[in-house]
Amino acid sequence: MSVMNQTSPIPTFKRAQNVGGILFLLGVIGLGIALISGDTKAFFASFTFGFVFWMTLTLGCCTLVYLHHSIRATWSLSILRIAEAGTKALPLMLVCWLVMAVGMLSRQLYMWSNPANMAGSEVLQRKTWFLNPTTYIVLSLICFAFWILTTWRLNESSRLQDETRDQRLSENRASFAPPAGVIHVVLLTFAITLWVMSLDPYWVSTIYGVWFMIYGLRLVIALGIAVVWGLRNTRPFNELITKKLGADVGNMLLGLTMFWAYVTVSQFLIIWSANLPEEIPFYINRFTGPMVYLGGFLVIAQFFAPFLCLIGMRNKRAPHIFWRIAVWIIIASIIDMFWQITPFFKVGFLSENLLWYALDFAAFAAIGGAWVWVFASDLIKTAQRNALIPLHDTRLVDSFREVAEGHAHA
Amino acid sequence: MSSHHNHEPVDPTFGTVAEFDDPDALLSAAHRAHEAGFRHVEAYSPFPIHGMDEALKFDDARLPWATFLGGLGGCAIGFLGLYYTNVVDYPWNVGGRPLFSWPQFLPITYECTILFAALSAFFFQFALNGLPKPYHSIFNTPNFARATQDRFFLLIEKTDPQYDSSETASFLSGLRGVINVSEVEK
Repeated sequence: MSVMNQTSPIPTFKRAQNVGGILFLLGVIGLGIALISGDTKAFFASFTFGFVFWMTLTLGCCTLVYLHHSIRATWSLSILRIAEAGTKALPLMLVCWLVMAVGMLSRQLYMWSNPANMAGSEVLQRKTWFLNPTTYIVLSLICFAFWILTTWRLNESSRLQDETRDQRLSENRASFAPPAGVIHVVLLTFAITLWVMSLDPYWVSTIYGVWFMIYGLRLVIALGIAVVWGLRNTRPFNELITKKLGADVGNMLLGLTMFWAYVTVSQFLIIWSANLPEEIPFYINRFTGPMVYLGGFLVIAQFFAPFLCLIGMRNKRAPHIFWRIAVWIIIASIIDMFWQITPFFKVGFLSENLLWYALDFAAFAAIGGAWVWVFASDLIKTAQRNALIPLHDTRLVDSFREVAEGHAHA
Repeated sequence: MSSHHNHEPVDPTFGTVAEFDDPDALLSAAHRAHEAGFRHVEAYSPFPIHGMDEALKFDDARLPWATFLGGLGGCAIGFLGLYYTNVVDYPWNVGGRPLFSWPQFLPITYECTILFAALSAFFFQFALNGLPKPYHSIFNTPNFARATQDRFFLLIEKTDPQYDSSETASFLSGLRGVINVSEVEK
């Protein structure tokens, strides 16, 4: 590897772009085979897994963008450009949502989309004012319009300030972002209720939207760490990473890991205690067959392992360990979403469903490949104008230089 | 009174203290004191400063471990206590659930973990710090009341092998951002 390659992150982003492209092609071929073979129901089911995972990550990026401009923290400054790059995938996710809408309209994805299914149950009858095609489409479009417009406005303002250094722009964002963040939480809850929770129209959990928000925010912080700390030998990230920054971002990741566990356990505990027939199938379906072991593994992989790794100071301050913990969290989160979504469609891990599970990964790769391509393309553009750390806010670079000088003096 | 006292008077010096008005100056001062070879150094600040533990070469992990073990103990006490009361001592059929309904044990197990971890952290730091301590020489430092408000202090103790009244004072006076240097009595 040449010296140029070691100092610029662009070659790595280009490799990510290529990997994204290949994954996209492989995924599309897999999905195409499923469509040609005529099993459209399986296609939509698998597509949902891919859509929900990447959508939740994109929404995590939005959450971090609103959050950063509201609180203007230094820790979030280090991964702001990563989150901004993720929000650029919103139009892509809108296209993917259209596939979900087709699944809904063709009555292959949501039980409630077929009036005949609703007629037989009084419980479902009383939900038709919310669970109907019009609400699904209108509310989804409102959500996408809001997310695309608000993140575009914040990203543009942040980019413009890099050029003009006009301090009023950041004050403007600080008054725009908090109300946008509040509306975002409400819309996210509506969207997750419609897109995911209604896959089982009998089932309800008031904390489900929060679960997805926490999951997404934690995932984008892990992604940010994987990129920034993973590329710690390239400019400008090598002028950014201090022990203090590692401790700060690591503590946020630790806090969200605990929050994830808290929300996950609370939901289970409340449903388990109440033991109501319309609520418990959610868990029964996820405790059937080998899925219960996968769930048990997730308790360790999603909570105990990262918790114990992040509770001490040492790992957060050691970049080569820290970014591996972040990669671990990303992988565990993918498995977690698999455990969360696929049992809506197929219970147990039966051998006759093996092809169907393969299709899940084809959908995951198709959407994910496109997502990574968009994400990496945006990072390349940002890197080309040398703005992978916001240029208008120099607090991080200043504190790095202070620490470096402090050591030099000492 | 020791007979010792009659022959040579007890040295009244506790150490030399430098006063700063910003945390970064204190941090770099702590780094430089260690670089200069001082080992009995202590810093006083109104709030925790990132990296100070490292600057002072403080790597005493007894308190975190005591907290962790306290938490584990609390976890065991909570869980086993629930097991004993629900399964052994007073078995009672609640909604047809098994007596050993461990998911229901989680909240109290969790609370006990937190409680015991916090209490062991609190009492162990009390013991390690030698509290209660009604008298400490550092309070003889001029202006030291502001160590809990907006001032930052660096102490080099008399017990330091490299301590020399005038040289230590001139070393501290040469540090960046220093406001005042004073020799403090026991």
